[in-house]
Amino acid sequence: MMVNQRKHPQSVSRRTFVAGAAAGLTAPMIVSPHVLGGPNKTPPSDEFGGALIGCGGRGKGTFGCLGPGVRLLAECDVKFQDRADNKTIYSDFRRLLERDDIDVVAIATHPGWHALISIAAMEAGKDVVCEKPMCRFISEGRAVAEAEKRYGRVFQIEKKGGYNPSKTRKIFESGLLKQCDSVYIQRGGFKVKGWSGKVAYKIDNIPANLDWDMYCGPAPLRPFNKHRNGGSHRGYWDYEGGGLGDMAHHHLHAMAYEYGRDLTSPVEIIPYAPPAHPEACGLWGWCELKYADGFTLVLESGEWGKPYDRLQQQHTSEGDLLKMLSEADRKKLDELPEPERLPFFPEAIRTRRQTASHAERSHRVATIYHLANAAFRCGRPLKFDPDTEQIVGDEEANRLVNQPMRAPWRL
Amino acid sequence: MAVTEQLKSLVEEMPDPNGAGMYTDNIDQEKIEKAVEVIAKGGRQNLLGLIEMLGEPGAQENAKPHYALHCVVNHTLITRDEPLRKEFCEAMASQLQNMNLHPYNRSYLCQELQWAGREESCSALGEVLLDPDISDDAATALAAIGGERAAAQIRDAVGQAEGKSRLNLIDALAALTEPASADTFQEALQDKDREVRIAASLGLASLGQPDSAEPLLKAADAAQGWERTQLTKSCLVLAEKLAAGGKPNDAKRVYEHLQKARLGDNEQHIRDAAERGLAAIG
Repeated sequence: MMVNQRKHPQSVSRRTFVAGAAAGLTAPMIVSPHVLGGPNKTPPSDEFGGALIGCGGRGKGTFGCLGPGVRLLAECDVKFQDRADNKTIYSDFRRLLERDDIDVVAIATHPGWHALISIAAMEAGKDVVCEKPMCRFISEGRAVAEAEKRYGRVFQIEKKGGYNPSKTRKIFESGLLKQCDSVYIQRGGFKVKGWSGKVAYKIDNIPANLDWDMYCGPAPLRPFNKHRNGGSHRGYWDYEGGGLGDMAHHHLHAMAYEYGRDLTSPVEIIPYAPPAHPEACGLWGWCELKYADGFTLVLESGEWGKPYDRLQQQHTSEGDLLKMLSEADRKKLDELPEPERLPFFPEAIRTRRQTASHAERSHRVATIYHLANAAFRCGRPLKFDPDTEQIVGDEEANRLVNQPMRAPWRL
Repeated sequence: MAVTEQLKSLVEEMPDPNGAGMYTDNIDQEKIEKAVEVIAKGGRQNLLGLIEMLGEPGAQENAKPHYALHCVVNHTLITRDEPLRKEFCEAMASQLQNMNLHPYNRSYLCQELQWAGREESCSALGEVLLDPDISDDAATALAAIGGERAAAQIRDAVGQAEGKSRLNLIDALAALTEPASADTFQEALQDKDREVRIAASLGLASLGQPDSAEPLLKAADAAQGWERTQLTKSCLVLAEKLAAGGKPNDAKRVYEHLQKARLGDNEQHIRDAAERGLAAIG
């Protein structure tokens, strides 16, 4: 079953149209030449041409998520400026994506590029494994999900997925539970201090092998500073979202699946943080995110300020949730089919099914931490409409939902 | 001279970066917010003083005024003090052509206007669209502010823009999706710069007008490689817009064309996308 269809009660929007046009893609989606085999075509379970875009720390691991049977034909990185031959080594992903012999792409650049390259790859007909986080802001995530549907591509966030369909998942997926007073608290594990940015720094010389303009990409072209390059890029809003942007997907993807938070987004976001710096990600204490059904998610850093004490974790067990259903609804639940277990990427590209961390699901997970970061940056509570994916009544805060990009980059 | 002793002492209340240059130690929310509130009460003069205090990018002496400026601008959004927000944005806009400021700081002012500016900031941003040091930031600020007034500033500058500035303008205009920009996009679709053509195609597609179909399809059919992929995306976006906008027959024509014109092995996904689009129209 398609678990990612959303309701749009208003008039038909382009997004609704795209979703409608893509309905029925899950099983099966597109019949690939690889599935069919035939003259000059490789049969199933054999080889796919692969490429890695972003060859730094996570590169090999992300490429490994493509699975067996994928041959590495090309690598691309903005630090290959001095040795790109545009045959096996590239510094501009656009040239690499023009190749017809590349079927699947692994993306492990800094996250400021994740969405744009994922979309470009799917536009070129490639299937994608992308390192987390999926995107830098909410509209980017929506655009990735639209591209996945429009082009019928397979998309996966690194190795996320493979969850056992539980009764809890079934309860939320069924839609039988209209109100839910669960409180889920994620304490710690966000590396907030570790992935903060510098507010005072030395301007360094740009290394000869690095295309700094391309590195910055859609973000403002800043003076070069070594701390913005490499793993510490995480500390800058230009490229990621600090420890929260980097770590939250690890903590929240399985939680979101279990508690059905991949079907919608929070409606109210209450932050506790000191005033944010405009460029450098910094400290925060906690964020309370409430959903329309009453479910509350709390993220607590444990690295700044007073401990969170507004609510206690409660009613998160399967037994608690079943008690919230009427007897009649419990019977209905028993009669419903079990939640579908979606495959990992290697199986998905051969069967043309969505993966367990397909773009729509991953986008909803990313929206959680992007909303928290937006509230920290704005320094005020926010209200969010999960259908229009806009912050309600706050024009300036919405500029973080859909951030203009430096040309020539655009969604 | 807008830098007073009082302002200097208030800016000193901002946190000191630690040894690594970070704000990760001893961040006192109450102390920061109290100082920001007092600075904000000083209005335009204090804002101009903060701008005057900005230093070289990354320099230790830049850290506190840089941070204070953003906090003070954001304070007007937190408190929803619209007159003060406008006053601050007008003060920042008045400094965009102050050549005594480092280009990095003029960019920073554009970025703050992207954060908090509205219509009052448009004409000042429009005046610096062709300034190579801050063209990128002025264009993205106008794209963020949005609306026809922002778009009009960009259209006014397009005729004189060349190279990267021209690309910035067409790109920002495409993001604004204002119907009055259609002719500009039609012209830019013939530009000598590939990226300008791509930006124009997306601008046209986003407007969802039926008469854009023919030039878009023609341009996409003639393009190769990256440009072909991007222009084809624009055709698909246009078809989606047309279908969603109650023009299914126009959408159908775009999809049918793509089915017939994308015959390569590497374009199967486009034929499939068109087929799904047609199925959705019914």
